[in-house]
Amino acid sequence: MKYLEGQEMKLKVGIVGLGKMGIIRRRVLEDHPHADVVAVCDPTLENQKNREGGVLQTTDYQEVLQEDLDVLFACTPNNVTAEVVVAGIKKGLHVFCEKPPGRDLTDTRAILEAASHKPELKIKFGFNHRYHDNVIQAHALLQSERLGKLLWMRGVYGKSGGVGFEEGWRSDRRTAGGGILLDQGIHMLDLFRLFGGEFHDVRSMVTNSYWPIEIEDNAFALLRNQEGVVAVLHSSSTHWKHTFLLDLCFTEGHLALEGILSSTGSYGPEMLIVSRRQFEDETFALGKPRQEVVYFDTDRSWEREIQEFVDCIVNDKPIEVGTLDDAWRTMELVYKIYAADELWRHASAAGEELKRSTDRLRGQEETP
Amino acid sequence: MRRVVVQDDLREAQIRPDSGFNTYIELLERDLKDFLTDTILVDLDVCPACGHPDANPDFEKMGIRYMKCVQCRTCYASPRPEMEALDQFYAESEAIQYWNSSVAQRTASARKQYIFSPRATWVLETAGVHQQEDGHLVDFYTKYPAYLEEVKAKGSFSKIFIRKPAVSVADLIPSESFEVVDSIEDGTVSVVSAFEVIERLFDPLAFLQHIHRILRPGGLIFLTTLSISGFDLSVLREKARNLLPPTHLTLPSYEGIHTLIERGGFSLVEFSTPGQLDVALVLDALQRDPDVTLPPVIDSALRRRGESVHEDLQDFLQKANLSSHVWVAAQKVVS
Repeated sequence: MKYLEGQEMKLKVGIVGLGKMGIIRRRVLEDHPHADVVAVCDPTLENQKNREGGVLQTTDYQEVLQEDLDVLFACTPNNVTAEVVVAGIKKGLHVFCEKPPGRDLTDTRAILEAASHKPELKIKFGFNHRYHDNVIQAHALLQSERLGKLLWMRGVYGKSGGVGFEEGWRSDRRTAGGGILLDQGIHMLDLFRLFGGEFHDVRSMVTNSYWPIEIEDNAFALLRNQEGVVAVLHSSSTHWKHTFLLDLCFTEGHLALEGILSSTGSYGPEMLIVSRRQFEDETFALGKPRQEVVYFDTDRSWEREIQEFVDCIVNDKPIEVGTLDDAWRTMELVYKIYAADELWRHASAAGEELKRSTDRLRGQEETP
Repeated sequence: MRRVVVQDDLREAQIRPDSGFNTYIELLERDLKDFLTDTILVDLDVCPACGHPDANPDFEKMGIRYMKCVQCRTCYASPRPEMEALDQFYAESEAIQYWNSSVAQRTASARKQYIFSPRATWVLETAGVHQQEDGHLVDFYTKYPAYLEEVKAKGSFSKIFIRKPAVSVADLIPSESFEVVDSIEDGTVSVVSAFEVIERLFDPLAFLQHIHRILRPGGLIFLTTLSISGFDLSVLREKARNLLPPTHLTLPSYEGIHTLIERGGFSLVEFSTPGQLDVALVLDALQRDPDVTLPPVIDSALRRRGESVHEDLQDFLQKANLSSHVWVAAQKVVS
């Protein structure tokens, strides 16, 4: 990287939102040799000193923007994401925005609109799963074509909610915009797009069957791209056993991504299971081909993601993962899934934001 | 770091049929006896894996004494023959010739299915992930052509070289696909493979340092070896039928391999023990040798439980990196 050649360059970073994601981003940035966290903002900092170790601590994100910054990290609840990101862009800052890119397509559109006036800025969205080892190695296998052509995918991403789940901001329609599909399932949709490109044919059933909330706790989707690759998604917050599972079936073999390394380890060890079709000798294989289970013991996804962002800024490279286009297309897919279930679309609990976004989708299929 | 667990249906008899293996061991014992009579052996001052000076005698096999490093618990032959003498042994040994001309030929199909094809896939896919698939590949001490033929057919290496073939290449590699070279220019190679090599060398560290020199930055080395930390060897030690000097001079421990790789200038990309035969080998030893004793719970699991328990135990050994069959992929570190 350019700045490693004897330069002392440090990016001055402000972080808005110190929830779970903000804390992770702060840790990685503080360990990065070419980033300096100089300002943080969170409602929990109300009683903290104004400056701690030279770092501005505030409850007002506008005060963060008054600092001398290069980069803004938006790790906020969905209802303020677009506002914070747009303000950062208008201030001329490179912005890293956690997923989802707002509550709905209106929010995402606002971000894209602001970014269109500042093409020199790097805007990246936190589709972090692409940086996990099992995803990286599965993608390399897909690209090598050693397993042949992709036929179908099946993704299950589920969590259990837990005590007080219905009270959190993620369960509040006005704050979050959507439920488990928008919050967690969006990662699986991002991976579907990584492996299978764009999906245009969308069917779905969306429910809130258990939790007393106005947003979905389960989404079942059936997608098809123009090459005929079919993807099946189940996104759930009533999956009492935390589960991450992505099957990719190819003409010559099969990949299963099971588990994803997380801070709690509740999604199990991260694995990539590789097997190759053996039905040239069906009597021998009997559907139980040789299988290699690759375990990954360390989660370096956060470091890789931030390293790439810093590299793009310092060396003026285009963002390649988590682009504005990725944000729009993945968000669009989320809302196509909502819209594809007529019952869900018209349910009063779905709310005006959903109706507005899905109505917009019907007349606006292309990226703005 | 990667760790691979393999589920397959390999049986020892498919790659080491009893009759052929017994003959091989008999011939090897005879060859080794003659060899040791005429060969000067050299004491090692330090552990060949971690470099620690202290070690205690562990066991003897076929007239060779094995020491156990007090630091990393690697088992190693000391005193041991120097490399020139070892090269001569491999060139002249009747046992080695018998193995290559008889057993290896008879088991070629199974070896290709269970050993060489998986190795080729491993190397190609790992090299692909690390963007090292487009340069030169060098295979050290090549014994069988099947692995290289598959790498050539499915890979995109610009050139494939053989360095120090372990046997007559003309006999085993009739095609002119692979160039046998006497030396390799520093910094020119993207991938080195050396299967079942480090355990037979006089000085494994010097070998790794040589590989470090010839690899380009970011280049990869792929090794397989036997580890004394693995279930069958740690239980059976000198009673393990597949532990045979002088092909097994150094039996590195789990910790020893990590240290050796680091001392050689590499960082680990993968450490796996995808062995499938540990449990079967111990079961076989129990049946052959009444002196073999095991902890009661293991003895019970092996003698009194069925095949599914044996499979589960072997699966666990792989997951815990406790099989003796080790796969290592490591990347050149540039300081």
